[in-house]
Amino acid sequence: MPQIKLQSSDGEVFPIDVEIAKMSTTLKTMLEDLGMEDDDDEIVPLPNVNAAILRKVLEWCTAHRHDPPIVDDPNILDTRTNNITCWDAEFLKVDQGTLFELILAANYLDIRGLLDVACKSVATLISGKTPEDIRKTFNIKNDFTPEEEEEIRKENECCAEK
Amino acid sequence: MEDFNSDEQDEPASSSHQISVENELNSFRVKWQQEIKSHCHTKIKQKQPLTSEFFDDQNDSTEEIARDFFLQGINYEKSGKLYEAIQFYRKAVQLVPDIEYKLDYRSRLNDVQNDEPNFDPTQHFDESNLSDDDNDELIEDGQLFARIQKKVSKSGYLCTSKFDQNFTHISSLPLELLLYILKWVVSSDLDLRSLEMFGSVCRGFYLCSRDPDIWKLTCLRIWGLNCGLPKEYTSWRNMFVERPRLNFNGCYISKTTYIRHGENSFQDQFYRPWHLVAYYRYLRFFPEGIVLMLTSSEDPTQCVTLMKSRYPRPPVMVGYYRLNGDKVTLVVQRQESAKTIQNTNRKVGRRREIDNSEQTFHMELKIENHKNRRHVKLVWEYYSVLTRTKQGHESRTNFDLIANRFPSLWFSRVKSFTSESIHPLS
Repeated sequence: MPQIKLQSSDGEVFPIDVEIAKMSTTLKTMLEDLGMEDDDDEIVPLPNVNAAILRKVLEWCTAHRHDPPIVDDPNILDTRTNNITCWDAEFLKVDQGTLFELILAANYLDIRGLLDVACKSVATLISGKTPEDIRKTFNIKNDFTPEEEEEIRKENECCAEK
Repeated sequence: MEDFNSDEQDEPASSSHQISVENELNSFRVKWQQEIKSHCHTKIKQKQPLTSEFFDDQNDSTEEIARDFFLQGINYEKSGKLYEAIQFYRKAVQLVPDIEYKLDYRSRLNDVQNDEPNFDPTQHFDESNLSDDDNDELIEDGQLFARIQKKVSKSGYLCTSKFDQNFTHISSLPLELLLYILKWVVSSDLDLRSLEMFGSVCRGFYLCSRDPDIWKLTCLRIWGLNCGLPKEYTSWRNMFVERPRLNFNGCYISKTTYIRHGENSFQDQFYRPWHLVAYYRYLRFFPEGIVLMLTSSEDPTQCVTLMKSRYPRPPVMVGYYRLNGDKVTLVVQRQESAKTIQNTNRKVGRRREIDNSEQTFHMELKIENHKNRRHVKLVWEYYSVLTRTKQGHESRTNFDLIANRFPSLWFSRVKSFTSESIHPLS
């Protein structure tokens, strides 16, 4: 199996299968455009991803390399089995910082599946929570003036019923 | 002219033909501006002695025509037909040499009026220095969004951490990713309540929660192809708030009570027992047109959990609904299943008689507001049941919608319905 080498921002080199690298649309496009598949010695630098996160990203890609492509239709029942979601849940049991870095890396490498599960797990930290809960969860400073807060409360009255 | 120039730059100049036309257009502009300057001088001189009404009228109508030409020119230029654009610009300038300035003034006025619905937080975040001056003109006391937008763009970040932390903070996510996360928060089940909560966290998040794209997708998901444009509601968010629709993050519930006389006791002729029978009717709507219906004597706390999934188990029935103005039409079919017999409600007896038959429920309900709670009440307008036996015999029963037998359904939110998102808003 052909391999390529990825280099993280802190200099660590990861040799991986091209098949797995191609789960990243960014790398896939790059490999296809540059025709780098035959060239084993080429090292691809990834200046935005550190080794810890890259290792995590590659772990996810390896586990999901047989996934069907994502379909953009909410009305189609998700056919992917539940144990993958369980695997993801286990995989995403990380601290918030890692989660955000995973999102940034998945976005940079354009790995849709990973971006989705990571964003979804941030979304569950927000859904159904009060503003104060959200501030606590994400360590956010409330910068509203009392007047602004009151105006927003009025604006939101219609949607925010108990 | 700057506006049009920027439009032009956005378009890829693909063919060499287009480039040459563009050059022509540019040189034409230069000439034209010189022309305008000279014309302006002569015109002012001419105009001073002539102040009769007649002159003004005529001036207005030619200006009108010239404006039309100029606007057509703009349209052509925007769609890339530069040659045609020049023709129209030329015609316009021939009639009124300084038409551009007059037009520019008017269109800017329109922009100010339309600014509210078209706001785009993404435009202003990064260009904090550029947009500040523009904003000053637009901000009035009532415009909370614009005021907050100004404050956020001045500070340059969406949110800040309250305490120092040594791991990556949410503020390191760019706006586009934050908005994508919000699409997961809202999800295909349209949990806009959580979005509003998110918007109350801090100023930057408030701007995110007013992202017109999210509200537009929401409206399209509710009203589909018949959604139209937010003109009469001034913004997509207002459309969502004001236009009659259903709430998705809970159940509509009605409680019907009636008195049933019991059998006289054998021993005591004077004792006439009666039973107070109460049952509930539950409706839950999903944005894509699925509705779940359940009639049960069980308490709401027991029943709402049965209606969490859009693929429920009997006795919950699945049907479809359609929104038409403030009316909602439902068609629900009773699924043939042995399990329905287990249902303990009062209909059991009747159902046994008409065993092996198919029942279709047709309902029409009107969506009403109650005080400042919107879309929380469903009032019965029509109800019939079509029964079809295995032999193909059909019969329809229309129900008399007496208020105490068919009380309105009231909405109550169910927290567990929005606890997990399956798909992002798209």
